[in-house]
Amino acid sequence: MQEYRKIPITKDEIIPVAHRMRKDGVILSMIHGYLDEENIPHISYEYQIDTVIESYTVVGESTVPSISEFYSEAAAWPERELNELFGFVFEGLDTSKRLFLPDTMLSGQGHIIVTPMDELIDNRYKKED
Amino acid sequence: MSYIVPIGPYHPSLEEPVHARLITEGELIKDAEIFIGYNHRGIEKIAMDRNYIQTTTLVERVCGICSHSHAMTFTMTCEAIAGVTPSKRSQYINVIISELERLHSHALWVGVALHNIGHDSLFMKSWDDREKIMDMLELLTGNRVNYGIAIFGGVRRDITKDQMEQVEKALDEYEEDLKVLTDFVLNDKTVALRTQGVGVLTTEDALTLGAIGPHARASNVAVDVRKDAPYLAYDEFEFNIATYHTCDVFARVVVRLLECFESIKIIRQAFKNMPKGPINMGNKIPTIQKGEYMMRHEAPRGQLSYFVAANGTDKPARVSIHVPTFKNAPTVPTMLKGNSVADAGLIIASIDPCFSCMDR
Repeated sequence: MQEYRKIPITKDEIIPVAHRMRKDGVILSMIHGYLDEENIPHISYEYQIDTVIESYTVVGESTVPSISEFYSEAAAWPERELNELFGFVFEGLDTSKRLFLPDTMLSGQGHIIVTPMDELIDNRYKKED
Repeated sequence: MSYIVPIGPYHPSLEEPVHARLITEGELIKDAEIFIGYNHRGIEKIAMDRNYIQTTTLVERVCGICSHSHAMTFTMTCEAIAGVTPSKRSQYINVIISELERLHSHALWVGVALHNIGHDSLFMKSWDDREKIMDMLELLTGNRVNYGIAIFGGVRRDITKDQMEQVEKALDEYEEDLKVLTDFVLNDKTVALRTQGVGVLTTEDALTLGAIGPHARASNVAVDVRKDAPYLAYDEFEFNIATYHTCDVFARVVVRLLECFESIKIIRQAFKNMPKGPINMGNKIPTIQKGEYMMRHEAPRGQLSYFVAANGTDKPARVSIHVPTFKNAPTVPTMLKGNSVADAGLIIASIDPCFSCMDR
């Protein structure tokens, strides 16, 4: 049956872990992230090892290195998503274009899961004015 | 001289909105970009403001095709956090509904693909056959789209002996129809000309870009969550992982058709070995304590994963939904390169995209 193992790591360990996993042919299942009730960022890298998901989690960092050099688009898309939903920064990631919603909507501004809708709309009209 | 040819967000070959920009030289596609999010409804954000019961209903509406997959994977994740193991009978019922969902989803996609290549007779046959599956789902759950069958701790509704007999009879008929359709598709000249050698995604590219589900299996990558990391009662069923080696659109058609036969096999085994017992926990539902978990399910389009962070209240701190299309869409530019503009719609459609799922 499926298992989920949480392994706390530091920001500096993200790249060595990704490098080791890629070398071993491990599939990157997903990169998840959220802000807890105290607004502390949680970013977790879920690697799929047989029936187990090893979740390498970094807590308290909103700027982390991108692992897209190891996992190509499989990492770049979730990283771009977290960048646009929460504003987490992935160093080395190309964010010149939006992933969610076209550039022409919302003036390309605002993190759509943490910014209230009225604020997003305000940003849009400010730009148009 | 190169031109940019825009496709979408609204296009006749796309069932849902997405935007692609093709960089072309003459008829040849040199590069491509994909832009998503036109169906974004902020479901993950809304989930943070709903309790777990309401969220089950909410996530079922992420997708109109694999609605059960969403509700079931969410409840499986919550059950894992709460340390609850649902009864065997409820697990079997969830397997049956999941496989029926796979059948109707694949039948729908095969129809759309045939429509895209201009073979409307086979398109109508596939969709006509699919109605039998929809009737079976309606018989078992009471609904055609949002079944509402997966609940926390089991399933909402039992399957009677009489219903099993009716579904088994309908499955026999559907299997015969499927054989006819498969024979047509595998031997038809039009299908072969439009799909063979088109939109190739090599095995290596599929692995590098993280393709999953039938899309990866059509590139000869034998991944399937039901086998790789069994959940529910899937380890008690005998079935094969369908793969194909040509890595093109044709392979994607073949794999999905073969998978339909495997799903029928699973449903028959489920009816034959259906365990006795309760179907849910009644009113003895435990609270969901603080914790995080991620569960995976092999939805019709591939691995669907739910990550839930619970903070000890009645509302989740985070529900992160990652759907197969989100993993398969980045492979589209690679598949488009080197093909003609006329095939772009078919190639995009060949991953069986669900933009409602992807955009959430």
